[in-house]
Amino acid sequence: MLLEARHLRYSYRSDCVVQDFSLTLRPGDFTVLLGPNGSGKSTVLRLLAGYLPTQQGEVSLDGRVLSRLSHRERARLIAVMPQNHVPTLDFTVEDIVMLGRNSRLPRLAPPGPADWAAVHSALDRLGLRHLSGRSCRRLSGGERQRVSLAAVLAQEAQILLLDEPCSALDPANSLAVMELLSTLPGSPAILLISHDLTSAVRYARQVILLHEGRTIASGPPESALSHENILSAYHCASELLRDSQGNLCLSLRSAP
Amino acid sequence: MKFLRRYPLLLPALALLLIALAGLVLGSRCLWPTEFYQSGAWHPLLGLRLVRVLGTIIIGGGLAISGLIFQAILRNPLAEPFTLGVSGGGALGATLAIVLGVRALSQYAVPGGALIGALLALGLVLLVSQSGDWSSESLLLSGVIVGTICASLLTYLLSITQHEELAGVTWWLLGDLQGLDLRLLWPAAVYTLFALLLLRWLAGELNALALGEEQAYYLGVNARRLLFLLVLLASLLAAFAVCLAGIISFCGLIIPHIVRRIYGCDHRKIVFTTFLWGASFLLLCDLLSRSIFPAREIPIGVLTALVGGPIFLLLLKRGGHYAA
Repeated sequence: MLLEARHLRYSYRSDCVVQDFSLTLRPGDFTVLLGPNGSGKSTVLRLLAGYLPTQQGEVSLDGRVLSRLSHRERARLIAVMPQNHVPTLDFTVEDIVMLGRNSRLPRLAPPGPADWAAVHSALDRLGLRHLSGRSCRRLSGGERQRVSLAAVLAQEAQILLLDEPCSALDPANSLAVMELLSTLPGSPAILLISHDLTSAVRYARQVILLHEGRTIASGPPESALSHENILSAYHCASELLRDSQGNLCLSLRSAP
Repeated sequence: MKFLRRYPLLLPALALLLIALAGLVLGSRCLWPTEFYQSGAWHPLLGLRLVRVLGTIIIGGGLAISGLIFQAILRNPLAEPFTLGVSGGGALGATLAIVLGVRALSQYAVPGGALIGALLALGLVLLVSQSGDWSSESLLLSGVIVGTICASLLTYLLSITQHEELAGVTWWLLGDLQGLDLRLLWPAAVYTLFALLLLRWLAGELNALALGEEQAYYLGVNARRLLFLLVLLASLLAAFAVCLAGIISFCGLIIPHIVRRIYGCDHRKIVFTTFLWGASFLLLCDLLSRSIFPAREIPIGVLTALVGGPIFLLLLKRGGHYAA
């Protein structure tokens, strides 16, 4: 499954937030979309998911224009995790994760064994099985974020678009989630929005750096996250280092 | 609780059956089942009570599922069938029919006025919120504004209404199940059954929509179209209820809350249960309204608040959330 975006442009009234954005996501890709606040990352994700109609450019899946797919078909292929939110109704953790199966569930029959297997597997992967009967409104922000991710995994889509999936997680859970995503079976293509440059350097095979709606760098983290690019996007000085185990990490400090 | 969740229809169906039977038997005069059919003829009182019981089931169940829909799609626990101004429009239409004396021309003037008023209010809400793409926020805001305008006009009408007409208007505003007409009940019954089945068909998508329009879209739901369809479905249920029996508050607000607390939030499991509990609740209130002071019925709207309120407060106090 190949997700392609070509020359996307999007404006909210006269405010252009995404300009000339292009991307190709192949099976097994792990791409991290980086950029300062307000650089257009979430708008890009909404365009790629088809939630916002493209004003210029095109998004296609295996050569088929995304907007021509039915809603259920699209959801079977692309799973999206928006930023953390609290459901108004008292849905249980299991209810929310089962909602990930919505596009695959028959309308009148109850969920089948395959649906339950996907839900339980997603809960187990994120260590949430013991919370399955708990109301989502009674969870912490981090737990709710893992529930949202479990729903995305239960969707069993081939393309995952994740908007800051670790923003509310503690370091251990954040690390566990990144490990989980980078080793998912079936080689789904992943596009992940993040503010965590260190984990982007460590896990991403490709990063895209946005600044004021434009892509200022893209490619492997070692080259895309150069000192100049980081300075240009975040106005911070940076240095790429290797730790004792050979993993890349990024050191940031205020620009002089 | 686990037993109730495993068999969600058992208890409300049993309750509905028993209360409906009590509704046929009890009243200003007790009519025992042995008297239902005597000397080759049905008892005339039975027909009247049967119409009232059937009407109450349709109205109570319809209001409850209308409230269930509105609370989910507007993501607002205070939403109820009349949130989008349907009751305000209906009340205005019915009051105009009474004040202008049209009631004297036809027995259908008041329900007709209520239905037209309710539909006009709904149409206005949909028209105004079109600029906001019928999002839940724009629907809610337009509904509140249209409802407030209708309420102001209604207050003005009441202030210039003559004393003898005022009693009729007040009685209608508090809900009135005494004058249910079988000819008006049929279309309402057919529509309610249709709405119930359609809602069950859409229940999985309603679950997704309850998370928000954007989230629902990512889960494979045409959120805007579904929202519009459900607003129409729920508002028409409320409009039929207003047309048949005036404004019966509380039923559409508390029954969905109580059902969710007992059975959970998965709409695939609670659509029929909500209908049955709504019907049972309104039947019980109606039974009380005509049994406490048989000589003069208590308005049904007063009873729904007096019975439902304490039950709801009790549930809140016990915090009956989802035990795993």
